[in-house]
Amino acid sequence: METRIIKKENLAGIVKKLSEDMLVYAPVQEEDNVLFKVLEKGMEPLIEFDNAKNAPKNFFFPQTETMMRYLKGERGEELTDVPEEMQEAVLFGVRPCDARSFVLLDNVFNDSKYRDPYYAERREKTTIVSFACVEPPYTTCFCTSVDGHPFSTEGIDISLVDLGDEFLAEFLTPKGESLLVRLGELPKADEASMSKKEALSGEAADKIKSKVPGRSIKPWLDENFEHPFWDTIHQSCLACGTCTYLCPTCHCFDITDEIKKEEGKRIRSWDSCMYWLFTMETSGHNPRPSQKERWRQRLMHKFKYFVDNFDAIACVGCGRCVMYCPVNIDIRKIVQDISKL
Amino acid sequence: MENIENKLREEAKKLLTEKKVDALVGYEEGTLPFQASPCIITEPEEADKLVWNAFCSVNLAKYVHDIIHRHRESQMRVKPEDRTKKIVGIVARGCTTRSIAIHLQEKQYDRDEVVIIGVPCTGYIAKKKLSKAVKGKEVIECTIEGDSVTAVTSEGSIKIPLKEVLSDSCLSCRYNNPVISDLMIGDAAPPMDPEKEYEDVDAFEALSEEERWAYFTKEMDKCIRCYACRNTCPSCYCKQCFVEQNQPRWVGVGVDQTDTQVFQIMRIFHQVGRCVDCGSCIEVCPMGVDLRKFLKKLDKDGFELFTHRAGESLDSPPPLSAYSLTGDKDDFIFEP
Amino acid sequence: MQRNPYVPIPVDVAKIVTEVTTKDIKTFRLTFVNKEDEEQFKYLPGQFAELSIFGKGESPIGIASSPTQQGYIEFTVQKAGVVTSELHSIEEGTRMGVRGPLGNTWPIEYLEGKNIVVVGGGFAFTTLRSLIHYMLYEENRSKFGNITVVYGAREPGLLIYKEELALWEKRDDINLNVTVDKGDATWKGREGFVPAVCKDVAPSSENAVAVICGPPVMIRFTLPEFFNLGFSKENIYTSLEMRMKCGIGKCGRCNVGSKYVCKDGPVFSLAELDQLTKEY
Ligand SMILES: Cc1cc2nc3c(=O)[nH]c(=O)nc-3n(C[C@H](O)[C@H](O)[C@H](O)COP(=O)(O)OP(=O)(O)OC[C@H]3O[C@@H](n4cnc5c(N)ncnc54)[C@H](O)[C@@H]3O)c2cc1C
Ligand code: SF4
Ligand code: SF4
Ligand code: SF4
Ligand code: SF4
Ligand code: FES
Repeated sequence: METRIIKKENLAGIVKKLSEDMLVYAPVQEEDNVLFKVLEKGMEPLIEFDNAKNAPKNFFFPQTETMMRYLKGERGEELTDVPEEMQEAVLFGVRPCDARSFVLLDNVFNDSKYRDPYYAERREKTTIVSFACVEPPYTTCFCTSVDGHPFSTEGIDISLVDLGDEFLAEFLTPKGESLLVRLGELPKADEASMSKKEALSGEAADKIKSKVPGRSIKPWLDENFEHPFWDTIHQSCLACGTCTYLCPTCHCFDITDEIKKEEGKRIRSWDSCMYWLFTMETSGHNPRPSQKERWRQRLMHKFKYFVDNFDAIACVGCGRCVMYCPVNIDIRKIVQDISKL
Repeated sequence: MENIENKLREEAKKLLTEKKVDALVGYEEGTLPFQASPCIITEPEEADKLVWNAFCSVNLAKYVHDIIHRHRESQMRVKPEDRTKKIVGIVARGCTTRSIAIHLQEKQYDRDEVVIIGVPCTGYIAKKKLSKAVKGKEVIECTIEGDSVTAVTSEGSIKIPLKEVLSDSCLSCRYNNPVISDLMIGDAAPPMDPEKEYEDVDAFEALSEEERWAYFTKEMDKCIRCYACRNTCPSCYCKQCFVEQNQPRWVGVGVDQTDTQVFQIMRIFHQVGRCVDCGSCIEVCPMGVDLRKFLKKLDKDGFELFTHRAGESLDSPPPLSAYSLTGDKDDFIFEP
Repeated sequence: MQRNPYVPIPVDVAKIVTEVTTKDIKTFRLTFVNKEDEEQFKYLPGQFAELSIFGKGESPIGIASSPTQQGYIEFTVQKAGVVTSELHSIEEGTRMGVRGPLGNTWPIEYLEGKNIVVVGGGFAFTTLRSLIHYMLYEENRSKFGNITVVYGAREPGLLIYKEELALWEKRDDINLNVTVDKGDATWKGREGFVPAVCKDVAPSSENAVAVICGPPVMIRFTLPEFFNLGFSKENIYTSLEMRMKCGIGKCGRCNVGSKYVCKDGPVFSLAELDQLTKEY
């Protein structure tokens, strides 16, 4: 594995320079929000920030994307274009929890039978650069409870560790190493830096105080699809789906058609199991008739169904749903409450 | 405050014990240090978890509407002679009672289906203003003492004047005491600054058309179309919102700029004379979209044209849904 | 490179048959524009496909034809919402799209060597028709034992595939029982609800599998009859309908328990359904 040292004051400039010849998606300050955005000419990424409000999954799986275009033909609308090609890109400034979400999403979008070309293309062409969480940014972080770690390298190509005045850069994958040549001359990291990183890693994990028995509620979930507990969590839910839109692992979508004048496109847009129309059938029958069933679905999907199918919890513990739920329904508390049942 | 809280719990317990209400909507302590979460309780013992403080933000009237309507729907499967009413109690500040007044005017439920516990209000803390005051850092602890708020973040503790973090809606609130109630708790709260109500709008009106449009566009571009604003708004109670209809489809599903703008414009226009400036939509918006300016602009127009203030009393229905044979200036065909 | 599973295969509408007197159910015969597409579209009875009309969207519809009928595929569609209404307004010769085949199939291999009981109600007879065609196909017929069919509709005008029913009626290698809830002046066949007819026909459960599709009420009242006849849950199959979009297990919509109906279904045995949460 190649390792390098990058001076703190140089990092933003290096990324800015990268963005001149390739697509870079990175956290930037937009008024009160930190958001992942495409770096436009002259923009610099944030180097010191907590985490972005939107999840970096947006880059691989944007809220709305065009799947194909068509034009009016002689006998009906005819396909003209399928925009599935993608250029080389760098996704910069990802937190380890969010990087793990890509590994989880790969299970869904890139399974052996059906490869989702839009997601998979971007994923293959993109190098992921992360910041290890030397200081876990929020008290709501709970990655260590859901198989993660503030220094996890899962899903990461280049990991940056803040050593104080400088960053230790670890080039973890061939994809990461191939970016090395574009970063200019950088000194190799020495033993001391490496052992400092090890020490920081252990300390960081200890700083995560929020504990959620992520795996251990599974047996309860297996047995208790029907249980009075489900009546208690959704009562104040606004069904806004913010918890799913901001979640790095949620992947539900809708496919719709739009026509403007002669040109049409088929687009996909995020959808959410928190919405009543999500499962509404043509007959008027809705298998999930109330918010109770929808909340149960969200929890079951993350902590049971995904585990059944892929042996992984579909939650990386980023805490976004906890922080941004407008009525403070807290998934950590729900999981804790279940573990006490 | 504490006094009000104790009294509130007492009254709530009484209402539930005496079965004067079947459910009661209030606030409980949240899991985050600056949040009170809406809660719906049905057992007298649960009354002890009710709280009343400056973290109680979202307008609870929507819950009353939804609980009653869900109940009515479930009653459709019951023989007419066996149908029951569900009586819902609610902890209501001024704006909440105005929303209830609008529901009643718009015949969403009957007066005897709701029991209003009125509480005086000195304003709630706007999450976004608090977050701004601590430069976007996570608030780890937050306490209110008199006129100041102490917020602790990873960078230390800051004292902030309460006024600086109160919701804009609260600062210029005209009705911070309930306009209708079945029982009142505590003494009337001192008035806020209603004469400042349209200050923001006046400043906005003074801008050029391009500047106004640019501001609107910028704000709308933040929107992720989660519809939290609509879902929390007591005046947005349509069973199926036009944005979700697909026959015909009025707006696209994606985050197309014009679609988002159309959604917001339509929603805001549906609020003429019906927005009580509770600020809930702004409070719940995960992206921090400034909806208030636009809502207040229409509110101001509504007042100037019809001298009407939303939900101020049961006798003044929203101007756009009332018709008087003699009073209306225009001659038009009225379709109920 | 795998083909993009979201891009519909171009097809032409070769023939449209209005099936019922109320005119809201039509069968569409689609032919492939490209020969390779036709060769790649390998399916078995029970599968479905997404019918695509650019500008309107897609709808999951069961494949009503059988792979033994070559050169085309057929779908029987009830007019319901945006896409199906558009389908009902198009004319022969229109170009549209098909995405599939999707989902699993009736358990053909398991059915081989057994007596088969097919029960259908209303217009949910589509993939059952596919199965019947498949089994009656000359080269396949000997692989299956007795074939008993009970098919019902509310009234004679609502029976679909009338010409085929008449042909099957004449054959002696299939025991066809068509019934209507209420007949009319011209109706000479059976009257009565499907569950009652099943009881009356009383197919033996000996080495037999039942395949049942229809409105939920029909299924609810028919199942007890089959349990009485001695059919086990492992030997009763049905097909689920859920709201679907992607059809390939990604959009999350048709999730029931750990399964996706579009990918792991739509065909399930009752024993399998028992393992699933009741959320369909
Ligand atoms: C595996 C499978 C096989 C099927 N096989 C057949 C078959 O062989 N034949 C057949 O006719 N049908 C079949 N169906 C059912 C068929 O898929 C639906 O009837 C069809 O998708 C309806 O599509 P649509 O675009 O016409 O309706 P949509 O426009 O999608 O609307 C249909 C209904 O959905 C609800 N709805 C959806 N979105 C909205 C919205 N935004 N706003 C309001 N309401 C909404 C409404 O209740 C509306 O009436 C099958 C379904 C499945 C899952
Ligand atoms: S469920 Fe919540 S905490 Fe878990 S990954 Fe999603 S947003 Fe983050
Ligand atoms: S963010 Fe909160 S209110 Fe919104 S759907 Fe999720 S749980 Fe419900
Ligand atoms: S709450 Fe905010 S982000 Fe959500 S729809 Fe309303 S304005 Fe848009
Ligand atoms: S529009 Fe916003 S401020 Fe006005 S009543 Fe609705 S939620 Fe309250
Ligand atoms: S239809 Fe998309 S997952 Fe089944």
